[in-house]
Amino acid sequence: MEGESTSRLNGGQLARLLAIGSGEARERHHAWEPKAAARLREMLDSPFAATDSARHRTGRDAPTTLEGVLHRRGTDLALLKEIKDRNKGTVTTAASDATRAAATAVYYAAIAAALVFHGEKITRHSDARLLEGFERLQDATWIPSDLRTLIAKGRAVCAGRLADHS
Amino acid sequence: MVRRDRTDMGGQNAAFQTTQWTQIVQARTDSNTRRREILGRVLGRYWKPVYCYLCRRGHDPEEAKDLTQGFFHEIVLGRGLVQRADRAKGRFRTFLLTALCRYVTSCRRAKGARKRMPEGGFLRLDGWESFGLPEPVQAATPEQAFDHAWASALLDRVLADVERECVAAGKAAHWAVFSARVLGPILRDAEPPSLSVLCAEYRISSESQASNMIITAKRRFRACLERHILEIVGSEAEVDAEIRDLIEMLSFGGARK
Repeated sequence: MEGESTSRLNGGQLARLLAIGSGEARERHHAWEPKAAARLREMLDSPFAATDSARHRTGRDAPTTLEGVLHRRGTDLALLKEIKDRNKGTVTTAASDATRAAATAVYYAAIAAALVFHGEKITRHSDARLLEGFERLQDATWIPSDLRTLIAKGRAVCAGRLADHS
Repeated sequence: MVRRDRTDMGGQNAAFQTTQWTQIVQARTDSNTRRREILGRVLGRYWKPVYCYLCRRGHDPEEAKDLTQGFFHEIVLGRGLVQRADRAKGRFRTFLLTALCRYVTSCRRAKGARKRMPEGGFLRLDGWESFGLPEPVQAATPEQAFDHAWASALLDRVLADVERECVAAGKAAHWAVFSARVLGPILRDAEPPSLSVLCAEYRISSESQASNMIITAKRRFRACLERHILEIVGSEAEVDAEIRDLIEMLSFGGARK
């Protein structure tokens, strides 16, 4: 950047530079986001231990991390529900905004996985409320891109359900 | 240092951030040496938009430079333009441009800009001799050229400050990643490199860390941009509006409000 003036840029490019600053006003109000990103990463990388009531199939290719379980098409619906319930509890009891946000992301990711891979809704939230939750998270840059993609796909399925029922 | 003062500026005025503009007002009573020093500083900041406007009004480069210096010396400093600004009637940019139009008209009536040359001849400015009308505004209206140069000069100062601040704070890597991922793609109209590529290139341990570094730099950019604009608009409430106004005008080459 040294010595590189912006005078050679067109108006649109100058506007985009100014917009960097504008967009950050919103981010400044969410100081927990970097910590939430780190916390979420920890959760996704952590070894996943299913309870006795919902064992996923064992096998050489069975995922061993939470992230792997969420993205795996063959993960049992019951296991996704367990993940959802576990993280719903964390959202309620979390001591920090970062942990609460990370648990919320996993909660919605589990719901999205059930919709995308099984076509089933594993929550009592209305489709409209679910859609709002998905939309809020699918563009959150602190969430890893592949998880955001899963949430976006869940949103698409949810939107389709709403359209079918309207 | 930024201070808040209640300053009556000839109209219904709220508190006004008095940094460089206080210096301008105070310089009117100072010695010639001090006045030249203040004028040089103000000119250094704001001459490009005025010069670009004058070029697009049809003045050749030398004439435009004469008029630019004369405008700042006679009008901005000499007649206390800042003191007469009534912010209730619109943005200072617009006020400055209006005053410039009137000045150009008065010069034409006086039959020659060279009569307006400030005492002691030209003030030396960095980049003055080599600066030419930027390509993006060579077919623009004078007002568009003014706005473009205003925004470009502002962004040049902001980016230089942000880079300097990042380096001084031991965050040179933050600046580098921010430049690669955010600034570079805009400057070159190119696709941004992925976070994974940046992690490999800058030896960052994770994409989330790279993302956090970019967020930190973007926040610093925002704070710096606001600080610079606050020096001109006079209140924090007007900062966001000024940014939005500039973005709209630059995006659509729109008519001035």
